[in-house]
Amino acid sequence: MAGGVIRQGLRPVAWRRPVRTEFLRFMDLAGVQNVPAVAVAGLLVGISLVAQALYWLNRLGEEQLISTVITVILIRELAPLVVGLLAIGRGGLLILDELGEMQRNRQCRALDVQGVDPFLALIMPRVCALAISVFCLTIIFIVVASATGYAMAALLDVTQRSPIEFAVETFRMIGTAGYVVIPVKTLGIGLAIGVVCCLTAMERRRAATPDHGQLPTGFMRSVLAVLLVSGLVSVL
Amino acid sequence: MLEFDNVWLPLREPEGSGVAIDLTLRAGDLVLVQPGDEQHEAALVDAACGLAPPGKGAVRFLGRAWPDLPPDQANALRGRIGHVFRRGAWISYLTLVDNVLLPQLYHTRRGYAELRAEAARLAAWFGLPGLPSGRPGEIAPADLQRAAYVRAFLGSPALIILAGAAGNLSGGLLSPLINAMRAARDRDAAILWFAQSPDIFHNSTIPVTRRLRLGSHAMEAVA
Repeated sequence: MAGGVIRQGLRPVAWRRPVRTEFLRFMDLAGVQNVPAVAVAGLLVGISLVAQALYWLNRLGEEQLISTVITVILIRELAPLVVGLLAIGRGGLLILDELGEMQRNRQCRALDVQGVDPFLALIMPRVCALAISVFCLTIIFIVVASATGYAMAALLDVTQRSPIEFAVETFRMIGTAGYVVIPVKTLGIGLAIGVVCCLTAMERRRAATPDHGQLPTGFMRSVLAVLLVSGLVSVL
Repeated sequence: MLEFDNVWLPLREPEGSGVAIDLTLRAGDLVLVQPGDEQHEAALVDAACGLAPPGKGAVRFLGRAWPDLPPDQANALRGRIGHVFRRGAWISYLTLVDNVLLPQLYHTRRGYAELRAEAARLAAWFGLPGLPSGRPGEIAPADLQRAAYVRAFLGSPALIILAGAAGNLSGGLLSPLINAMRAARDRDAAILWFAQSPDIFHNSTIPVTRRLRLGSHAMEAVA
């Protein structure tokens, strides 16, 4: 399914008007409406990460590593993971709910007989929107968490650098690999959540009654998928 | 227009059963079918739209056999068929207007305003002051039924399949429906109407070309 989404997503002819509308609607639901939650999470993570890093690195006598540790952990590992988990709540469960209801009410069959491909009209735009949302939200998360972390460090007098120096140093420390890892990991996580939730919702094809087990099943599978993609990209 | 050529259509229940169908709908035909039950009706609609291949024979629409068509072309051809569904088949998170326009927006390049104007004309024809702008869950069932006819007749389809429409023709809806069907037939559309209710099936005011009943083994003509 992931291959199908990528293949169809690259075909301009697949992006007909209802598909584009669905993509924008889902970008709004899973992306724009998720910004406040991501910003709050970034704020909290920024504060706690600096406090934790200060405490542990101080105990280990490695204070000079603080910015490196924070940048690498935050940007490469924590940000995609936290945003992925938030995206499950906002986007993944919405996919499960909407597509599940459509399956139960035979609306997918109705689309089929009208020649409207449910994969193009329902699945592809949702998965693409979720993948792009996770990428954009991760960038927002990194900016908020980094800014909070810097503010915390400045308040605690741990850093003597100016905000501009801090930003330049952060961009430098991300490194070439980081600039590849972030999009690959975030797009992969969004794709994985979308595909897992769509597949779980499609399993309802045979169910005539609401299956309340689908939401927890989809949630659990999505969390595992996020951890799997995150781990795999980090290892590779 | 639509041709079931020596088709043997397998049915899910009873297991291993099926019906023989030899049916041709020409341009301007209105064929009334009593399908027996909902499952048989769905099997016939799926076969007519090329979604379920028959066990034997071939189903052709506009001269083309469904299995010979690549998926994109088959979907485009299905876009030439207007449908009234037994259960409405409305997408709950879209407005009713977007639901009605969805197939046309998907299959054609006609402008939104033009489609909306045609939908409004059809809505007036079926007794609606305009297309309700709310979501399907907020609309009265009678208005949803009228909107279902608007969706089916929108975009001058070559074939119109009415399923499950028979039980809901109250409130003076039969007359505008017959008029809409007459106008569609005048421009050479064919209509396949699944009428479960005997009142509709035997209604002499409906100008049918043929009446057919789906028997236990074959589709039979009814006098």
